[in-house]
Amino acid sequence: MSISTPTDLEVPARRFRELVPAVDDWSLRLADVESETLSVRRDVVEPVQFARDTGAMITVSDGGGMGYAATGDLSRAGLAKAAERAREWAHRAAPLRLFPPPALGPPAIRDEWQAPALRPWTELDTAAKLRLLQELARRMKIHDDIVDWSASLGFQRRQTLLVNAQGAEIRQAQHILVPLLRAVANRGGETQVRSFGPDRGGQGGLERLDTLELGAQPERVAGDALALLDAPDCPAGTLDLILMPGQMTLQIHESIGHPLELDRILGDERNYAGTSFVTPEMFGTYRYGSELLNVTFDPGVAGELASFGYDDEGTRAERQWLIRDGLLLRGLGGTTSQARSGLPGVACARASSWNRPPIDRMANLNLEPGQSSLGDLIRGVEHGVLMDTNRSWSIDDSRNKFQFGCELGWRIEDGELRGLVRNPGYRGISSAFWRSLAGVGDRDSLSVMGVGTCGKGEPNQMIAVGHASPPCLFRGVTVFGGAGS
Amino acid sequence: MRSSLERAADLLHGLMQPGEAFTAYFEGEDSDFARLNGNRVRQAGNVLQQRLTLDLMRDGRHAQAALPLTGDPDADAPQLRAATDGLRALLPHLPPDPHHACAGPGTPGEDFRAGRLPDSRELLEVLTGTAEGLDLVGHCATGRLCRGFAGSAGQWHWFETESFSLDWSLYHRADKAVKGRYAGREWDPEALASRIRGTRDQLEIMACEPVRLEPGRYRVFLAPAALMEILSVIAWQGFGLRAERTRQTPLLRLADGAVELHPQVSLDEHSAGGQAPRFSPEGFTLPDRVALINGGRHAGCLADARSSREYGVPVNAAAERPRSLEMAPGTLATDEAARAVGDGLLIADLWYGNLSDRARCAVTGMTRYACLQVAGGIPVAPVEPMRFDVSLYQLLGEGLLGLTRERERIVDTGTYGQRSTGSALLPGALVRGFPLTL
Repeated sequence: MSISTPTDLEVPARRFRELVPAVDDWSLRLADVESETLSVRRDVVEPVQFARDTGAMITVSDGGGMGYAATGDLSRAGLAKAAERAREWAHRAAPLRLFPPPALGPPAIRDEWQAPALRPWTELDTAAKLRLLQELARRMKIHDDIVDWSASLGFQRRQTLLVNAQGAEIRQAQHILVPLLRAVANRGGETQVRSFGPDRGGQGGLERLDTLELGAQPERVAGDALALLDAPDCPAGTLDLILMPGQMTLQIHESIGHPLELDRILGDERNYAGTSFVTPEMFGTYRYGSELLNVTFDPGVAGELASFGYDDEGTRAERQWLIRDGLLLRGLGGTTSQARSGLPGVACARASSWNRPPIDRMANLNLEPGQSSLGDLIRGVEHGVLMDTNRSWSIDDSRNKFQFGCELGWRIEDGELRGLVRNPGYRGISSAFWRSLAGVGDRDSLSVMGVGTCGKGEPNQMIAVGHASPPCLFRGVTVFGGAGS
Repeated sequence: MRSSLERAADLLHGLMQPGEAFTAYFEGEDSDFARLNGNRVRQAGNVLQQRLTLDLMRDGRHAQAALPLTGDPDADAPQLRAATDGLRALLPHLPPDPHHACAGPGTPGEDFRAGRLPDSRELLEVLTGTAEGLDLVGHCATGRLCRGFAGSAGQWHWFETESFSLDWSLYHRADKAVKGRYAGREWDPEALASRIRGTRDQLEIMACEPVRLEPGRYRVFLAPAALMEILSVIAWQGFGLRAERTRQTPLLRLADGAVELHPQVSLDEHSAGGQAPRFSPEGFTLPDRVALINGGRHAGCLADARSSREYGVPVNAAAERPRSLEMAPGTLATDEAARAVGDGLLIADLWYGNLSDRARCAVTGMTRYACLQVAGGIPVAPVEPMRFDVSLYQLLGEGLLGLTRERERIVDTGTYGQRSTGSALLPGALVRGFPLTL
């Protein structure tokens, strides 16, 4: 169902063209986002939440400066007021500008991009979707020690329209579905949590529920949480480590994605998200990891969270190699950062919503598959641990010293899995860690996942990014569990 | 913005059918933002946004719709009607919600906190002028924030504040920097200039050759901002009633009475002393103060409206995370912190904290900005970034040597979605055995 009238973005775009002020350059980015959150916790249906968020981001370049104004008021008066505010900010910023204003968007491109959604979200009504969640939640209460259990679905339908002074018109539409199953087990002072999602979020319709085999997960999720109560702590020491895609997602995100962002390298993020150990001269020469490390920026993967046709500055999205055979080739920076740095980049200037300006973001950042099956990787470990599903993450502001924790792990001895371990964690230094990459799973072992809550920027922005990866093997990592940290 | 909520509430009153009720929660801001790098403007602009969350109720059933408001009745009314109709059609298909709670009629609440805001041009001139020649990176936010609540039983709350916050780093080189902050409601250009000069003076020591520490345990002084980073991680689930009853709180052993913190440790949610609205999104008026830890012992939890119904306790929080955390002071003079450390570290800021072991209430994170080595009570050199991993039970238990008598109000400069109204009032802490791991 819909609880409000979708905004026809052509209408405010037309209004704006009629009133656009006399300025050197301008762009208008309109967004209309409809979302729905359904959740069942402890067998109680939580309040159904619908939301619509509609607004405009006007960017103006004038008098040697650049300014923006975002408004939810799409009336003629509202857009005129915002345009004036953007113009005032351009003039205010001009004498203090960091760099001359770039061209605001592409030449006169007219294009549309839409992610496929085979089974529309509305194919099932809200009551039917709640019944599904009630059933999934009920199946997680498998034991008295399961003390909290929940199932939820989040859906978002996002449409944007970018127009500019050059005559560009770019329309894009995405449908995003994020499931979450979560079980909490407790006995005495020991509590363990196991989840499925939200790293399984992606673009598409209800067909994603089948793709993810959501119906097969509740007992497994709750069973894992229960089993972890009785598992020993993860062993501590310098051990071989296999990371499943549910942890590789975070490892790629924090220690490859963020360090390669050109705006970090240019210093924009130093007051908040941090800087980078990567410096401009490293591109084209720096060995980021072992020869098994291959990383692409690929906004064209069907169903991945951050697939799009154009970024929010209107640059056409293309697949690019960032790291090939271990060698660093290219950073994550949109046209503005590329011009400032003189470095190659990608179409990744993205904004979290209409009320924030675009900055360099990851989009889909994928670790390309290798030649080994998961069984091959396990057989290649004499003493080690396999870990899955991130639950804790921390890394320094240069994106070098990290410590991550997972929901669960398995001890590996003599090439075989030898039992569940709880509270697994590991730490390392990015620049050394990727050089210890000794095995990469094949295409059959690859999972397409993502991070829905990547925070960055001032003012702050939260955005979804996609990560696809197979399981990977690392040699000689500092591993620990629980009190051993 | 107030008129946006008033008009919406009037319209909604007229749309209600027999047996129906509504609540409406309003959030709005008119903010200027300026982002700087290299003491020059990187991005700057204005954000004007208003948002209403409508909760429609009937026969114990309810559902919510959040909508943008424009302030233009002709544009807003059709959206509110469509939302009401859509929710009305859905309600018969939903089960009753046993955990739903909203405030009944009561005394209308009004909280208007007028400020003297800077002109944006003046603000940038003072900031960049005082920092001329320095590598300043930072962010300024200034403007009006509003929150409101209205209900079909005549409930009404309004909160409006005019405030600003500046948050900057002065860089010496690479990752060597000092942090500065200035926030409030009464703009004083000389106060800003003075603070920038203060952070500039701290840069001198950052020019010294940095020390690379070995992992181990150190005697440290945690400035209030550093202590805030650790407490903010604990606060994610540590003080909420739902997390306590479902055994997820990292403070489980404290809540069970299995451990105690140092008797000097007392933590409250002090809504009356904070900068956030004093009502919840469901319209409940919040108590002035909720004791969370008292004399080192667990004292209470924050219960939002849903938890209050689920667990049968009064509502005492807008959400189950502190927005106005306050820690009792100690007796150590802040000026004496370096001398009290003797040989160890002065830590101005910590960063990127996360729970590393829930059962031990352990937090890991990094040092950032001015982390200084102290020898013989004198700061001597900056320290290369180090990772810590510490249990709160150790940090504020047997490891705690003292808290400062002076406290600092740390304003949450967060702007995810909208500007935050959170803040905390904290002392600094002198601690022994602080573990650095990498």
